[in-house]
Amino acid sequence: MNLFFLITISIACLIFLLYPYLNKSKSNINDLQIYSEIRRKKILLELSSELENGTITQNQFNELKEELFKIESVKKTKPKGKDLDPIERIIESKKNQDV
Amino acid sequence: MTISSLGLSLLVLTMNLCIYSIVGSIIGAKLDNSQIKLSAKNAAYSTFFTTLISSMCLVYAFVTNDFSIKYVFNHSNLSMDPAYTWVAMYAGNEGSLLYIALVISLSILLVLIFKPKDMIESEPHLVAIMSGFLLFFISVMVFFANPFDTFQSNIPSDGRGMNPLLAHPGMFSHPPLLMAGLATISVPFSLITSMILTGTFRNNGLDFVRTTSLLVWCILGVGLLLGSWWAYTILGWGGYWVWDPIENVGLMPWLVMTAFIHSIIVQRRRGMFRVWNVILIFLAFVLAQFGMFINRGGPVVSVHSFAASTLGYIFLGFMVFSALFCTLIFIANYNKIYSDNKIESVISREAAFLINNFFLLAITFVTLWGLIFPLINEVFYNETVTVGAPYYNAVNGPVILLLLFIMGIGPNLSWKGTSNSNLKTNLLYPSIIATIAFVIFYFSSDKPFMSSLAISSIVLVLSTIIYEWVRGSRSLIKNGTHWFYAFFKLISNNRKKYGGYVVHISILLVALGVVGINFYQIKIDKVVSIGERIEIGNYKIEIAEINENNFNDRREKVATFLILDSNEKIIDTLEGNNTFYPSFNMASIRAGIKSSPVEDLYIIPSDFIDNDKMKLIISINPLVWWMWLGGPIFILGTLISLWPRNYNKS
Repeated sequence: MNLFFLITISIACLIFLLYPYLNKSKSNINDLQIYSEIRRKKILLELSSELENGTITQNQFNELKEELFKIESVKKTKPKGKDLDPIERIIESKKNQDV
Repeated sequence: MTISSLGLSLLVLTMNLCIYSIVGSIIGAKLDNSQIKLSAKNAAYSTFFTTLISSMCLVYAFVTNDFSIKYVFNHSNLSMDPAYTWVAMYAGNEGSLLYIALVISLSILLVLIFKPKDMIESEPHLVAIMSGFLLFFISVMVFFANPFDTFQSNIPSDGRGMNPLLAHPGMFSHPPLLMAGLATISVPFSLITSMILTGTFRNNGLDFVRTTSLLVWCILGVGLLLGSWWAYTILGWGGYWVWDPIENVGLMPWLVMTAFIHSIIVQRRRGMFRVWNVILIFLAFVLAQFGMFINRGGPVVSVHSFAASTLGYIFLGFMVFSALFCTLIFIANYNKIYSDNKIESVISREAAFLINNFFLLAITFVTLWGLIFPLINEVFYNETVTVGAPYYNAVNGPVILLLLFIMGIGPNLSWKGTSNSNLKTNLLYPSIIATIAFVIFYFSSDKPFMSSLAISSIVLVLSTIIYEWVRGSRSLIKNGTHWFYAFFKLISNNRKKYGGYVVHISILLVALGVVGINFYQIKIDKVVSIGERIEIGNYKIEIAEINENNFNDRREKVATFLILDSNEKIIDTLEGNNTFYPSFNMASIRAGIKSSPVEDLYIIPSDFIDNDKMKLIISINPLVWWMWLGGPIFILGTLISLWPRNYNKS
């Protein structure tokens, strides 16, 4: 009986460990979604501080915020080094246009 | 396959899961491969279930009196109260290690489930650090302290039994809470270390660090207080607090955690004290490992050493490793954690927090010095020196008073700086009340100056809290809130702040008990015969009878005392006992206690001289009742502080 318990528990652990390799796509998407949410949050924080500093106006802030939530591509974008991602590029271009 | 083989095999499985989890997390983070990271995380989750089932095997062995397992033989017997077989698991070294491993694996599970999403970047590091900590305890069990070790032949029919001093209701709460508190300091430590390593130790996840730290701090605090209560009722421990080495190693991390949960507020609010917070959490973690070392084979003598073993050097090694690891992380990442903001005014909330931190650390280092000074003397001068309660009371007493004073002033200061008018508004009335209290106590009693100062400090803190509550409630009433709801609404609107105040009140209650017992205690020591009466305070005490009961494992002498008031009227009957355990060559003395909010009548049947004569130590301990009330209020305050706000509603 005890041996049966040990074998069952060991197999259950093994399956649990192998599951992410077997279900590859789902874990990738989940991760990317979380990353993109964090990115959104960080960009919003940056925008808020720029609004407080007077670098952008309230209208610009609202516009950029709307734009940020419209962009679907953020879900597929993962931060890599210091390169600008599509959202940052739009924000930069908006700021350059209006200020 | 026997239950012991199953238990041990599961420990080996847990060890492998930990190794996989550490290696997987590091490789996963390096390759940025989410499959490997998730698989490593799943391994960390699994450790809880394997450790849980392994622990259940040991409990099962205790409950079924499986004396083929050496650990069960050493800590249980057939005449033991069956209720204790459920908790005898942590009565000795090997089982308590398994309990600690269970707590760590549970904390890994809970942290990984509840941690906020924005900590995803530091998750692999977190998994690796926490699994590494668990791996240490599991490895010690597998290689050096196997709780499932069995007798190969001559299996005994009965065991030695649990240490008699542990057969007390406190066994169900104090050891598990204290061990859990010390072990789970690893949670905020791992969270912060992983954030430092990934460069995300800014404001992400700080709320979660604060929540876990408060929980750990509360568990450790309640564990310490329950230990005090236990020591108060059983004389073998020497009193509610005797600055015993094992008591001290539990207190020191709690003090540092107290400093940490205050200074993390400053980081959250003002982005300051980052370096300081890292130092505090590292120090708390290393001190917790120091506690493990002292408790499990450390070189100091203590009445509390139940988990003593020959494994001291392993825990010393782990403590040194922890200290080196922390130093290395700190030096390598100093530039990443340095905060730009500076304290702008000495009369500000953040400055008060810093002073509070220094006082807490001062008490910690005084306590640490008292603990290691005898060791240093022995090693370098070959002299045996004992550092006892007088040293701790004399040095720590004044610092604790200053700490109380800061506790009264600090919450009334504003962030960045406090104007004179604000200071006057907030502190004028409380200061007047505290001064009046000091004058009354100083001139109306012959007690030392310090006692009046201590009471006036308690009054100062209490009056500032009440004054703050009254002013807050008034402003809500002015805005239309009914007076009955205003108080509760005030707490509900700012739970962190007012929960903190409730915790402060609980600390005041503990302080009140300490002042009562240290400055106002009356004590007599006398040999008394049956029928003879002794007078103490307003009480008269008479020994009504002495009975002797013999059990398989112990001889118990029980004395019944009649308590009479000054009019010779019987107001209560108390029992005290002195029990001798031949197999342990140990006596356990339980005091008879008549407790009330004003004072405790405390009778210790110290020694039974003849069948009709005994030596009694009787004392009146004022205000101790409030100290025990402090425990539930402490938990309540922490829960209020932790209770999440309903953001949708607000």
